[in-house]
Amino acid sequence: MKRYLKKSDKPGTGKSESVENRVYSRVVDTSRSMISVINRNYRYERVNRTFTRAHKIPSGKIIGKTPGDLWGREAFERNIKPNLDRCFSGKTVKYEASFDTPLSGKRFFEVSFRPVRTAKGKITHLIAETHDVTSLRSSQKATSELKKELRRMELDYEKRLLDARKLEALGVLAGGMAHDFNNILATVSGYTEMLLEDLPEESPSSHKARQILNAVGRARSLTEQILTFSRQGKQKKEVTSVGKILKESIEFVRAGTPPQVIIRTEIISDEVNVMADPAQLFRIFLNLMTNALQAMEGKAGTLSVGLAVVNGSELESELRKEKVAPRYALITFRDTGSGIDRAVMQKIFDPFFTTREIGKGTGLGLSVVHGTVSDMDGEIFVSSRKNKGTLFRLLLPVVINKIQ
Amino acid sequence: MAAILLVEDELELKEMLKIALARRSFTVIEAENGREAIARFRPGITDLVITDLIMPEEDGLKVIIKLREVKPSVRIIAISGGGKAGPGNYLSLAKALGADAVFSKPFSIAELLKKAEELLEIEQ
Repeated sequence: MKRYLKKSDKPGTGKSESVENRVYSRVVDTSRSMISVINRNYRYERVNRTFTRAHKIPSGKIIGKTPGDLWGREAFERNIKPNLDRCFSGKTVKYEASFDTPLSGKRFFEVSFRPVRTAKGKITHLIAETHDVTSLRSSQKATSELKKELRRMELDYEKRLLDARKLEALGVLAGGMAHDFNNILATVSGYTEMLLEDLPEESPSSHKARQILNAVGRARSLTEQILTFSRQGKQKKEVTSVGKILKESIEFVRAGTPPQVIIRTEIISDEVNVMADPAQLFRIFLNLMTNALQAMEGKAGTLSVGLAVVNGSELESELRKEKVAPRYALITFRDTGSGIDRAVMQKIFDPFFTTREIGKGTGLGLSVVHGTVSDMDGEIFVSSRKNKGTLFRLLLPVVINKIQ
Repeated sequence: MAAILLVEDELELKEMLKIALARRSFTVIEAENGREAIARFRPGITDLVITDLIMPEEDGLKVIIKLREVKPSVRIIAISGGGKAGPGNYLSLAKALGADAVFSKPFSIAELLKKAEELLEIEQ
């Protein structure tokens, strides 16, 4: 079947022209942009298939109409006509617009108007091309969101690095202060000892002097904690029985436990050994149990202390480490106290963070615990429910007793 | 006459130790740092040195080494406040380098004096 095409303006030679036309028509129709040809009366003379599809109007009903008929009088007078006129004056005009298309909702477009000249240079038509850039825009938006996220992560990392450096500096400072503190304590205790020698025994004055010495003893244990914090890990480690130290610390705590609090123990195995400084381990257990008791202050409650052995393979996902030991001692401290707030939870291992009133604790305890545990290649986890209680889980790598 | 060389950079602490030693009838030669300690050491009359470990200008370890060279039989008690390097490290090092006893601040004066008397009796 022969196809007859409309004669174009240009005089053609017949067959080759119609083939050319057909091919170019196809090119125009298959473009993903909306393409239209508009004359100097602002009327559509040709529109491509993408145009008619997007508007859901057959070309027969568009040709001869103006953009005003399609987009409305106001939009035409205000936005479209001025740009068309600029194009007819010889300029290529480009701008961005967003339309609500019947087919796919709100889309973003780049619109361009290009003048078409006759052989003599007179502008008779323009080609309007509307290019959908909605996907481009959203991927640009996604990229800039990613960049922002990346920047946020960088800043977060820098902050953590700064915090780590501050912590290190704090440690060094703390160490230096502890040194000076010990000098002062030595002076106080030295003179007090001499006073005790001078004062009559059993006198009220000698009693007071003894109290001074007791206080110095307490101050000394505090500076030791500070030093542990600042030094982190140059302590002497040895093969230590966790069960033994745990039992000792429980006995120590039991003495100061109010009658309405029950201490339950589930020590599965006595023969669990870890590489640790026994005194440090004792202090860690003491610290965690003291915290538990304080959480239950004033009411009845239960402190459950457990010791078990767990395979490293079961913990791999929880322990964010490269090297997971074959077995771990799992020491648990569970209380039925007031629990820890979610907001507080983030900070409990920070040095000097405390929820207690002034004078009732320095806030060094848990940060020292955390530091010591890390130094032993262990991990400490905490979970809590407000008014239900708190659970601390301590994991320490098990070592084989060298006697075995 | 037992003379004790007391080396301590913390002046108030040095004053307290001097008084404590003097109460026991010891003769005390004082030094504020390692350099002074080495300068004031009289091998003939000094039988015991009590020295802090961490001091400016020639710290305690150097003092111990130098004085041992001059008088191998002198008794040395090392004391330390910890902090900068950790008492654990310094004190074991001090022992390894020739201190006869080590004390970590704050120590009991009674125990220090007891050790001092013990070391000096052995000498005699």
